[in-house]
Amino acid sequence: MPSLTSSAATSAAIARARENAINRGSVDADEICPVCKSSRYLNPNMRFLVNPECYHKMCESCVDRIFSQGPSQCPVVGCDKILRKQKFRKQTFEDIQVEREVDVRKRIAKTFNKRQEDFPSLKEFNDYLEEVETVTFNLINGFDLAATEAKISAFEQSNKATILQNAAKAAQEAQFIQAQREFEREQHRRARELEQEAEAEEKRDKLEHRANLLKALQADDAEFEVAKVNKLARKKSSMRKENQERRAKELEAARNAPAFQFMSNLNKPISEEPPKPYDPLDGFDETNKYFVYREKYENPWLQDALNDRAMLAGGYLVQQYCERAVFEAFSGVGCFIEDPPLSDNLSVSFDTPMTDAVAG
Amino acid sequence: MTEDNLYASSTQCKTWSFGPSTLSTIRQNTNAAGIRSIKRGWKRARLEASSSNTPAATTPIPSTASTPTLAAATTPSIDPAAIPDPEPLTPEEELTLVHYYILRLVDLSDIYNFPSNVKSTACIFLSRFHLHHSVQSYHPKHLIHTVLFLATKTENHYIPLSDFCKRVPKLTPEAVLKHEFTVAGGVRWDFDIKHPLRAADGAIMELLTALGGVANGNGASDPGLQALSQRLTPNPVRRVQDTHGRMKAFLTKEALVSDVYYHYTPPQVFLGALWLADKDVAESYIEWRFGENSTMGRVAKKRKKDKRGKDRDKNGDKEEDATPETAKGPPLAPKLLSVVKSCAEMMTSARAYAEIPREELMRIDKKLHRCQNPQKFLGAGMALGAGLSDAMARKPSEDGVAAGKAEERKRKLDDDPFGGSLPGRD
Repeated sequence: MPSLTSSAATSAAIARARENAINRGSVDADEICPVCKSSRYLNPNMRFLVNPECYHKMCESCVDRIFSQGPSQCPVVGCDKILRKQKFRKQTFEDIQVEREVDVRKRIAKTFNKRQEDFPSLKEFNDYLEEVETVTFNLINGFDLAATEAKISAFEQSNKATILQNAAKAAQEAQFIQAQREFEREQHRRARELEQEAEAEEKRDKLEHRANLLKALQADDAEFEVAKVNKLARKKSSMRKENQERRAKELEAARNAPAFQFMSNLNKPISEEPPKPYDPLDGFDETNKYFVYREKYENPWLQDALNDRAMLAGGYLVQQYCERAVFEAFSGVGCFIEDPPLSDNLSVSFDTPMTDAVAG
Repeated sequence: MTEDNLYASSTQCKTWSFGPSTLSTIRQNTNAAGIRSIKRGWKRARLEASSSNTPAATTPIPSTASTPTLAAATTPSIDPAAIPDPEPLTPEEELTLVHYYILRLVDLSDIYNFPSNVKSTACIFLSRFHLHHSVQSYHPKHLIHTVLFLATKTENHYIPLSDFCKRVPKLTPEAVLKHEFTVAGGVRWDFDIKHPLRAADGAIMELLTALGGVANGNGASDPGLQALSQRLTPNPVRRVQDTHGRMKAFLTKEALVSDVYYHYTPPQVFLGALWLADKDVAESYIEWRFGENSTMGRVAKKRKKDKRGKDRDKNGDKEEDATPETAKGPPLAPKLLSVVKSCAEMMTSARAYAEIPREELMRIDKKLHRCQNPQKFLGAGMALGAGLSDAMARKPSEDGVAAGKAEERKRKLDDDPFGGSLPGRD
C-alpha cells in the first residue's frame, strides 16, 4: 500500500535525522531532547529545562511525563539523583558548568551576606571574603563537600538574625535603586517631550511666518508690511528660545534635585552638636518687662479677704489676685492703638460679616 | 512673653481696637446698613399695604368685626405709595442713643448692686454690639436687660433669671432671653473684656507699697520714687488713696460712655482716669515707672532677694544679666503721657452725653419709631388697625402667601445671619 510505505519511509527519515542531529554536536543538541529524542523540527514549541540537582537537560514534556506523579529518579543513565518537578527551570547560560557555579554562588551569597560596615576594618572584611570564596570554590569543585556543608549550616545557624537583617537591608536598597531608575527614566521622557514640542512649535511658527509674509506681500505697502512681519517673527523666535532655555534649566534642576527627600539625608554624617537640654516651656520667659512682683502688696481694700475663711477655703489667694492686678496694670501699656501698622492690620483683618448688610 | 505681647494676643486688641478713622468708618458702614434695612422694611410694608388694600374691602367678617371702631375711624383711601420714606438716623444720632442707653445701663446695674466689672462688661457689650449692628435694626432699649444678664454670666456673677426679672417691673424672662443669642453673636463671642479696673487696683497697690517703703526709709535707691513722694507731700499715701476712689468713679462711668475702650489699652485708660482724678499723681507715677531713669522695680527686687535663699539669688542675677539697663530702649514716658492726656480728654468729653436734653433724645427716638414701624404709618395699618397689621406682618393674607414667604426666605438667606430688622417687635 502506497500509504503504508510512505509512512514507513517518513519514520525512517525522521530516525535518520535524529541520529544526524545527535551526532552533529552541541548546536544540534539544542534541537533534540536527550531523553525522549523528540526534535524541535516536529515540536517547534519545545523548551529545555534543567534541574539544579544534576543539571541534566530534558524537554518540558519529559519533565511533565516523568515528574508529574511526584519526585522521581533522573532518567539519564547513570544518574541516581531524585528530582522534583518544582525545581526544574530554564537554563540561563549555555555552559552548564557556569550555570551551576552561578547557582552555588547565589546560594552562598544568600547565607554569607555580611557587609563591610559589619567589620572593624577593610582587612577583616577581605579575610571574610576570602573564606567565603574558599567555601564557594570547594562547593563548585566538589572538594571536602561534607565538611564544607557542615561549616555552612553551622554558620547559618549561629547567624540567623544578622542574615535576615542584612537581607532586609539589601531588599530595601534594591527597591530604592529601582525607584531612582524610574525617576531617571521619567526625566528622560520629559526632556524628549520637551524637545519634540519645541521642534513642533518652531515648525508651526515657520509656516505661520510664511503665510504672513505672503499676506504682507499682497498688501499695498508691501515693504513696510514685510518688515513688520519679519520683526514679529524675530521677536517670536527669540521668545521661544528664551522659553526653551528656561524650561531646559528647570528640567536640569529637577534632574539634579534628589528624587526623594530622604536621599539627601541618606549618608549624612551625624552632626557633632550635642542636643540641647529639653525646655518644657519652649522658650517662654516669665520675666516681666515693666515690673517685678513683690512679696507683699499694701491693699487696704483686700484686708477682709485675707481673713475671710469662706474665701480662703475656696482657694482664693490674695497674693494671686495681687499678681494678676499688677500684671494687668502693665499689660498693654506699651501698645499704642493709633500706630499705623497696628491699626492697618486691624482694619484689614476686620471683615464685617456681623453687620446686617455688607457695605456696598 | 511680655505684658504687651499678652495684651496684643487678646481679642480686645485684635478685633476690638481701632484708630479713630477706622472706628468712624465702621460706624458709617453700620449706619448705612441700618438705613438699607429700614428701606427694605418700608418697601415690604408698602407692598403688603397695597396688596391688602383691595382684599381689605372683602375681608371675612370676624377680622373687621374685631376692630370695627378703628376701621370706621380711619380713612381707607390713603395711598401707601404717597407716604414718603422716613428720614433715617445719622451715625451721630445713633451714637447718642447708644450712649444714652449705656448710661441707663449703668443706672440699671446700680439697681441690682452689681459689682463694677459686671456693669462695665454690660456697657462694653452694648457698645460693641451697636458698633456692628445699627440702632435702626436693633433698638437698644430691648437689649439693655439682655446685655446685663449676659454680663452677670460672663463675669461669674450669676443670679437666677427669675430673680433678675423681679427687680424690674414688667420684665419677663422671655424678653431677656429673646435677644441673648443675637447679642452674644454680635459681640463675636468675645466675652472676656479686659477692664482697666483691676489694672488700676494693681497700680495703686504697687504705688502704696512703694510709698510705704519710702515711709520706712527703704526707697532711698529709687530717685523716681523719691521725686514722687516729694511731689505728693504732705501725706502721699492719703492722697493716693483718695485719688483711687475718684479714679474708680471715672472708670465706671466716663470710660464706659466714651470710645476709650476702642482706642486705648486698659493701662492707658486707667492712667487717663488717674489723670482726671489727680494730675500730679498721674504725672509723677508715669515718670516714676516709665521715665528716663526708671528702675522698673528691679532695685527693690534685688534687695528683697538678698534676704531670700541662695538659689533665688542666682536666678535673680541671671535676670539682671538678661535685661541690662542699656537694652531698655527709649523711655516710654513722653509718648505715654501724651496718649494718657488724649484719653483723659476723650473721657471728659463723654460727660456731654449725660447732659443731652431730653427733647433731643425724644426727637431721635420718634424718628427711630417711625423708621421701625412702617405698618403704623402706611395704609395697611390705617385701614385695618394696628392689631391686624401686626398679624399680617407675621402671617400674610391668603393671596400674598406665596410672595410673602418667598421674600421672607430670601431675606433670611441673603441679608444677614441674624435677620435684619424685626418688624412688629414693640
